[in-house]
Amino acid sequence: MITTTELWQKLSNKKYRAAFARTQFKRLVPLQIQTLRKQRFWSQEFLAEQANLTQGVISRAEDQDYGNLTVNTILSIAEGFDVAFVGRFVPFSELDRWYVNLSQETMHVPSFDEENAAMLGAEERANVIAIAQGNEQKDQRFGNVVDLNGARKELAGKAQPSSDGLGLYLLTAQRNGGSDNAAFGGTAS
Amino acid sequence: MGFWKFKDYVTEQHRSPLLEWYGTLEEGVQAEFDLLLKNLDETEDWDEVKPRKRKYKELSRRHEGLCELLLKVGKRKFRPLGILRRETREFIFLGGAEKIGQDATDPEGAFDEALRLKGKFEEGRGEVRDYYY
Repeated sequence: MITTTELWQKLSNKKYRAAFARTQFKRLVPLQIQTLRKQRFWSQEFLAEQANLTQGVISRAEDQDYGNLTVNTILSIAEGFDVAFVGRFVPFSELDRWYVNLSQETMHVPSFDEENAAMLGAEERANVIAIAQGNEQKDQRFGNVVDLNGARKELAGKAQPSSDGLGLYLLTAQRNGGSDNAAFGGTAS
Repeated sequence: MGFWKFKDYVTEQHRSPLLEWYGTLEEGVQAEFDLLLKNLDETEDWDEVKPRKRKYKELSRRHEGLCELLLKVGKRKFRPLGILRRETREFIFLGGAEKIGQDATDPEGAFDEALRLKGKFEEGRGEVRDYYY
């Protein structure tokens, strides 16, 4: 593993940094495509279907020696993964940091649905905590104790199907005389 | 954190055959080499791709015991050489060469020299250190 200082020293050579920028794009984009596909347990055929490409194109896109990957193909693959591909100009210091920290973990990119679920989950948790904290004075025996389960039940009891037809619940949580609104994923029954 | 460790063999005379070879490469080839190692480091199983797409080859016959990494830059073929230890996921570099034609290399005799250094290494002479790429 190289450090930013060591890589920066190499990058101080103009020919090296030009070649490095070109090569990292050529080799690391295919690596990330392959990594994302495997993290999702997808076959090349399945990704091709999602991206509206052929399996052969995916195979070449994952080949680090291919070197002719087009931006259009990359954008289609991004669409297949339901993630964004941001092609933008950056200073070498940013490339340096990104490269040094590159790993299987940092290459992972959640799809929009995964992110959305995580965000809504966080919002729901925040509501539960807010209600629990609002109710903490009710319990005289244990002093400053909050009842998370009670708050969760209180929140769930106020769930109503939304009217937007998207299968989301609209929550109205009463807290300290005021109201909080939150939506979370689910299917109205 | 990657899956593999790349190590550099340093002779008893404190020479690093890999770094000496690396220093002779053009910057573009150096960058390709560095990124090849990054890729291999992040690839848990080097055999997951079809044999013709693998980035390494374990040598047989005269150079048995040596392993070469396969680095192609344009039409040129470079061969970093070393010892592959699958059980510990390590690659110990013993040098490198550019393949010219069927049998010739630059530097000349690089494979034989790497094999000689492998012998020294196995005798416990010289040392290995982490290789940063």
